[in-house]
Amino acid sequence: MSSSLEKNMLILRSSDGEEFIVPEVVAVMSKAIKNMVEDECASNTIPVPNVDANILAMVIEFCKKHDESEAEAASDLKTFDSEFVNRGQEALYDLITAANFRDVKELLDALCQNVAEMIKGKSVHHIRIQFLGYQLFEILTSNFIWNIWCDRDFD
Amino acid sequence: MERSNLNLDLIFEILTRTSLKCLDRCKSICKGWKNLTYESTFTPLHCERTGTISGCFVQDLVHNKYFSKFASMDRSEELSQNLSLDFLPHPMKVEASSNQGILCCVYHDYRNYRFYVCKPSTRQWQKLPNPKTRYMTVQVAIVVIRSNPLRYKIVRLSNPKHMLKYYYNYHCEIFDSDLWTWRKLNDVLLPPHVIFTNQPTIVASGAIHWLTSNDQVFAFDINSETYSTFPLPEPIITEEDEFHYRDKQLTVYKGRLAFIYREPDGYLVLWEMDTNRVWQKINTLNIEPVEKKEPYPSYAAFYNADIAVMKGFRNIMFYKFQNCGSSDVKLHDLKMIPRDIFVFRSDLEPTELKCGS
Repeated sequence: MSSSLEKNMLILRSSDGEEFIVPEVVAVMSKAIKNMVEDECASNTIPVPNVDANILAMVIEFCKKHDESEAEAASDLKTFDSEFVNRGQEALYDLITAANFRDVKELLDALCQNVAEMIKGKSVHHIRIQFLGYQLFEILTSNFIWNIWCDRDFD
Repeated sequence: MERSNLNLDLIFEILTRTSLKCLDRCKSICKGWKNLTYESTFTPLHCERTGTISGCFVQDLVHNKYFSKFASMDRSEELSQNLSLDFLPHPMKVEASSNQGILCCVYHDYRNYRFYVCKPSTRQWQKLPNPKTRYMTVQVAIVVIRSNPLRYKIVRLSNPKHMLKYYYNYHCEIFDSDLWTWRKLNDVLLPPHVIFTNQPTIVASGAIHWLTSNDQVFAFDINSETYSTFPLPEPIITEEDEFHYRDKQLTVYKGRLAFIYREPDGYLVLWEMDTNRVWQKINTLNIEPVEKKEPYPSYAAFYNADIAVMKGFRNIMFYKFQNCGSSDVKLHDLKMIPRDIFVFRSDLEPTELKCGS
């Protein structure tokens, strides 16, 4: 299969085995992949563990758009970014983890900014449920006293 | 179950992008989050990404007029120079600062004086009604209780005309921005010959703290509007020689009430009040690197968890003390005497200093 590939194309294989063919310029937006390519330790197929096909497709979509629109107006990219990151919480967290793991700076920036906007104006209780989920009970008990005496929230 | 379990590196990325108001709330999510915000790399990154201003106002008195300058180590020089109090209608004395960018100032005009609040980063100011100005002000503190819509309380202690026989009493007035009026509370009573030391006001854990001359901490609770006193750590109160520990000062470290003093050998010793309301000795600071630059530095405040602001003769220094071995002192030449230092951080969003007007 690799022989039929053009020279500057790479194959990324997600954790669940699906393969994506992407141009090298797009793939190397991920620092982790870039390092692998530069060190020439990668064959044409690069495994991307910990990232499933859905998320990998999204990451590739983002990278493609950013690569293409380098010359385009920045405002276009902004709107794309804001639409792109506007997703359900589950997908968002998976994306952030993937972006961090594969070291895609632009995506990480856009996503973290989005989460930061999301928690704006939310109460402590809400943020806890959102981020700590099942750890809630533990947090409530272990930090109960701490909350009373330190950094009390006045809201 | 792995849902919503972002690791702390990612939380760090997110928190450096939240607004100042939101950040304060995030600090009370859990210990892990709180500790992130006190990492030394956090403040510079947060300032850069959100446009937050962080630094301190330094005040001096020349020819009977107060004036202040802003000093910072995170933002460009240009911004620090733009941030000043010259937008106020008169030259004023800064009395107290809050952690949310609001200052309480007083304008002295011969016998009269007037209280103001202002937000220097947006150049907003607001005149307040006056408290009972015939009594001399002893202490003033401002605390922001809610950021949106803004609500703050100002507490003022003043000397009475007549002292009681068996107590030193102070008038206590409180200004609530929601009510927009000063209320007189019961007098604060201290044992005879005990006065408040001339040291900065420390707001931590929902209370205002002042150090009194008998080595006690006076704590005024903002919500209940009551006060209590408790002693400093054991070695200090049992030491007979009152000059043994020098430069005793309350401060705030990682959001908690702390206490710092200078040992006879020159080291600074830091105590912190832990969650069980017990003093714990947590750190010893070697200030030798600072002394190399400036002969007699004195401690002023903590800028963040590992940078202390030190006062020199005509300058202040940002001293990164948890930088094992290598000394890192950033000297900020002010060309003025740093009489008072008010740690200041602020966002750039305009706010309503007087709500519901």
